[in-house]
Amino acid sequence: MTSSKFYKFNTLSLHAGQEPDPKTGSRAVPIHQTSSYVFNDTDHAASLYNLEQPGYIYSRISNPTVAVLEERMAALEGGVGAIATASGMAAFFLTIATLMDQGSHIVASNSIYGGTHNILSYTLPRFGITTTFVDPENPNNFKDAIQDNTRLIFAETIGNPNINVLDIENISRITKEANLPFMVDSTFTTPYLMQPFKLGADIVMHSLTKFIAGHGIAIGGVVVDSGKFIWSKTDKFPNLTKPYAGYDNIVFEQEFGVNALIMRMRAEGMKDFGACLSPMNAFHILQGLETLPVRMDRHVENAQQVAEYLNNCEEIEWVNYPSLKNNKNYKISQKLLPKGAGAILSFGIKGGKKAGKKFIENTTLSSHLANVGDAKTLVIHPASTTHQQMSEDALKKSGIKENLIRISVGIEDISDIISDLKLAIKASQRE
Amino acid sequence: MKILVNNYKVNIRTGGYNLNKDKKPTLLLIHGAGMDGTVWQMQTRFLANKGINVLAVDLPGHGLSEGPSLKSISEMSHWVIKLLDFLNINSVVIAGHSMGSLISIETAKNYKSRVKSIILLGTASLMPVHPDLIKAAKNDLSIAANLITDWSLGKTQHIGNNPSPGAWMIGGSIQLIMNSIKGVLANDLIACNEYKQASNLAKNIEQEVLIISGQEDKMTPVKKAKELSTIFKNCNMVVIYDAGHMMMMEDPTKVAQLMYKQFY
Repeated sequence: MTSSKFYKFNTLSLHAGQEPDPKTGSRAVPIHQTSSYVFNDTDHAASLYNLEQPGYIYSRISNPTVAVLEERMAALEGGVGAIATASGMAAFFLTIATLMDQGSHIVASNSIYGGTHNILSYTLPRFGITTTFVDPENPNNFKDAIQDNTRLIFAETIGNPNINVLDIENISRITKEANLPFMVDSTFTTPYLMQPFKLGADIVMHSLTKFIAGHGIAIGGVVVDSGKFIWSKTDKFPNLTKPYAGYDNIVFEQEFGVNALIMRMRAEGMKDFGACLSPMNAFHILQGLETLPVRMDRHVENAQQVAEYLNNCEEIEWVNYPSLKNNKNYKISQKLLPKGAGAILSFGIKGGKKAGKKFIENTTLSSHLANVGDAKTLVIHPASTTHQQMSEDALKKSGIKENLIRISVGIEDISDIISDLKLAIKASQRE
Repeated sequence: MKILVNNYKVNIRTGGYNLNKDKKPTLLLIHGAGMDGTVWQMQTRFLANKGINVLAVDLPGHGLSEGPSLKSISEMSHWVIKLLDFLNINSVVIAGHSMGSLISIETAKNYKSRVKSIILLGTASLMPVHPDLIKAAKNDLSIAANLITDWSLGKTQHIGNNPSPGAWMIGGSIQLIMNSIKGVLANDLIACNEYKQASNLAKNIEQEVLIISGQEDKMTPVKKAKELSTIFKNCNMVVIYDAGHMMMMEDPTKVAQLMYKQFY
């Protein structure tokens, strides 16, 4: 029998969500730098507000340039739809605020971005939403932490900054058994290296700022829904299964089916919380997304060489990169990330915190900054920067050592990257 | 709203309005194989807000409706009448998509006094289904969902540019079918494959018929829809360009407006 003939990943990363503009022929995605959209007449206005027909009202809710990015991300992840937000953190909060109410509980991996750890630990409890953090290395830890009021399981596909590969398949078995949605932050892997829906995740989020935009010029985030989770199979999600007074008593799941979560997030979340992505940033992110596949191949190739180089350095105590054969996650990374385990790795220099600091201060080509996924090589010392809000205990529990250096390997010539690291390592060992 | 028919809960979308049978005309929307009433999400509220009693129903075993799925187009038609009986609706316009269009034809012929007119979307007198597709629907729903989606959506939606901001129609269509209960799609495809009465019944249908066809429809091509249109006594046909078999999702406003014109 014939097989389906959908466009493939590289093609979709260039084209999905956009055809040449029918009026002007513009091939590139036009930047719709407008706050609002003229209604045809009063009926048209009323029907847009009533969710009777698709269209645009106000760019806080949706915007044609942003919509191209959203649709393209949904296409690349294999989801039903997406919502782009002002940042990755906004994407995370949008999802939480849509699914949770006072008294809800989340089970989250303890190997996550410091900002996410912070909102779960300190901000959300102020609104009655609590989190239990677990070590993601053992999927059963998620199961053991589930409570009656748990509504979501959350983890990162590759943990930040420990670079541990999440066993999505086995965790998703647990979440399905518990009838809970499973959300993953796939920022470190991108849909090019891993498509979490195929492995059992229900919701994917990204900081688009990283590899997807790829050039360190625009902040953005996105939530993509798989449409797989049947909200009415449990009574835990009244925001999707009960009438919403704020919108003409719509029952989102009944009305929009597989698009229920996305529709609620747009109708309520974008409208009320307002963390929308600007059309200009969407345009910049789309420019990056067009070349994601070729960039990721180069990122991964360089990361592998950097990891192997560091692994053979006498001055380096340990290297954490899942594609190294001696890594504890080697087997699972080969299975879940056959194209490579991303371009972010961590390592510890002999000499502890002091040597780590010297290393950072002696890099020339590599930039010391709080970002990852730039085309340029970046380095940082998480214990004093991205994860500095975490207590000593939380750092210890998350396995973040004092001498841990995180490197986001760029796409420069590999010999130049390694030369830079070599000089900085040498400098780090001087008294 | 949810009602009980044959002791099973039936899920019906009414576009945010309560039924007002005495003052408003009623439109019953019937979805296609393996799908549910959410395929009409961009018509339901539009038409309800313009003074029509809209009933976008999930057939038994589909979407949020309970019960075993029905085995033949004839059984489905009888069930439709039972539903209308329960709701005490004596006059209705029925719009059916694909398999739903066959149910509409069968019901229009057998219940002339109840069915005022019919709107057929993605229709043909015969809907032969390749045995391999039925086999896939039974054994590997993912293959079937992918094939149906590929053939159903026109060229534009293979790239995207969804009229609903941020929605990816290919993903939505595949997941809609993937969320169906095991065996339901296969049952529906078999029912379509075995139904051969459309042409015969069409000859004797007196009511007004509107056929809406997608120019890029590979499942029920325009040519086949045209052939069927010539059999009816009183039929208009509209072809929507840039749309395939899922025209109510691909060009939702156009479809909603065409439906509205059938009433006012």
